[in-house]
Amino acid sequence: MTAVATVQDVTMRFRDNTALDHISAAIEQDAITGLLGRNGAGKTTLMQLLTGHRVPTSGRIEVFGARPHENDAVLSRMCFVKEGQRYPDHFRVRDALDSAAMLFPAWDAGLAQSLLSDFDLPPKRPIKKLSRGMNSAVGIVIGLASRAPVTLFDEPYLGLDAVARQLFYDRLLADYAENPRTVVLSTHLIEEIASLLEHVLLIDRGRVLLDADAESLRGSALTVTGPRDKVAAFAGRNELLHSESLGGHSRAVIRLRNGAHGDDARAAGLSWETTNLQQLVVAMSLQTAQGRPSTSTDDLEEVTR
Amino acid sequence: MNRVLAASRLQLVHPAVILGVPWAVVASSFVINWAVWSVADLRHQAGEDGFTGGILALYVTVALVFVQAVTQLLPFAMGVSLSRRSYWMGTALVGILSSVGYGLVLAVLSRIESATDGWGVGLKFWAPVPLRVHNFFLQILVSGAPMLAFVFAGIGIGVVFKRWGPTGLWTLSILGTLLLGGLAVLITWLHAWRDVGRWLADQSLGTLAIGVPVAIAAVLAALSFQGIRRVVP
Repeated sequence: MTAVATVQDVTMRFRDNTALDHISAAIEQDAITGLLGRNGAGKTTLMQLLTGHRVPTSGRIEVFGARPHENDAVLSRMCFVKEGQRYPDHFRVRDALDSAAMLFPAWDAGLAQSLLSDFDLPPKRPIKKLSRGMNSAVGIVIGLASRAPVTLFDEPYLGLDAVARQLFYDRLLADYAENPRTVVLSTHLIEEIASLLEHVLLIDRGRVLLDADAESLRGSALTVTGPRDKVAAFAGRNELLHSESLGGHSRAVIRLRNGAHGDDARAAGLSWETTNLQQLVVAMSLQTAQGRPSTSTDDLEEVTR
Repeated sequence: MNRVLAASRLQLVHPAVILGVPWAVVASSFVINWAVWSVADLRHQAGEDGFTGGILALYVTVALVFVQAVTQLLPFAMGVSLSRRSYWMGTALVGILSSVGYGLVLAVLSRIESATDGWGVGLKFWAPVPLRVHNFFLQILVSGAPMLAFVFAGIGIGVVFKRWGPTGLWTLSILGTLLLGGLAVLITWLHAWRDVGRWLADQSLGTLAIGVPVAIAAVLAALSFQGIRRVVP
């Protein structure tokens, strides 16, 4: 993979908390990367660092081989659409688009126009008067029409209804297919975008939990159910992420090791299904929240219901 | 350079605000002053040297426009990938050009004022007596240079607000009050008011109306340029 952006041993400390704790990661060029994690995990901070909106406490950030902070040569090739982007009070929808057209070298006015009508955005309405969802749509139009070689969307769907979100995913995918570029998308609606993602970067409490391509993740974890001791035995040979037990029965999310797959679970006398991305993310995040290593069978615990 | 110019043009997107509001405010100030002069016959009450500081409304409003250029437009400008430095330079460029523009318009209006016997009522509004000069080109500078100081004061206040929030603004105003108040106490303690007055009287109008504002603008420009580099949108 070619990295368009690299993060090397970056720490970002605020007065009373550490948002990012010595993380290293790379953003793959011309791919759609999902930046996943819980609230407060550090997703927005990471995006702010990548776009030079903040400077890391320590470590090194490079985009296109240079530091992005105050670097117009780098920034002009990036677009950062963030949740709750502020627009000047007097700006109408068209003012925001005209400004963006002025600043993004690869701006596609035709695409912007068609997106405006897709999202039913009234060009002359002050952005301040738009509903939450329509406000988000303005950001989405700018992000897509910018055609910036590196485009970051930070939870861009806030307030958007399911139809508009689907529209966003469809248009993103269609335009991405015609004009491959690097897209980083942070979201909580993991299942909705799972099929779009080529790469997944999961962070939690300022650390990278997972940095893998989406293809290799599919089928990398199983949710198994069966007698408690058999689940425990199978978990012992792999990596237990999360489990719950009721009586003598257990259900566990297990990351497979050493090329294990579903047949092995069946052979172990368990029923299984593949764990989807959202379940995997939840299980991994919960695992760190409970703050314990999880390869041993001691982790099987009773859950009272 | 392209991006600096783009940052300048960003100020003029939907120009009703940056250009319209200051003129609307100063126009209403003018109408009120004209009405007072005319109704109360202030020409005879106050004498030919009577003047009004109503024009200050224009300077203050322009300063507020530039406060908003930082508090409102900067976050958007950074959202469309401008660096803070380019944005600052583009904004400063608009500030300098508009100061010249305001100086020119004020000079023209003050000439009209003279030619129309103070709009028929002896009103000296657009260039109050202390800032009124005979040379037209000098009038542009005398009216425009203070505007430059107000522009950069606006940018500076915007940067303080954006970086340190309301706490920063309160701190700034408390420090300002303490500094000026302390200075007044010091001068009083030294019995130096007369010397200060004499020194001020010795300075030419050029120094007070052009030199001092330009120097203040330069200092504020340097400070705000440093300050804006770590602003988070």
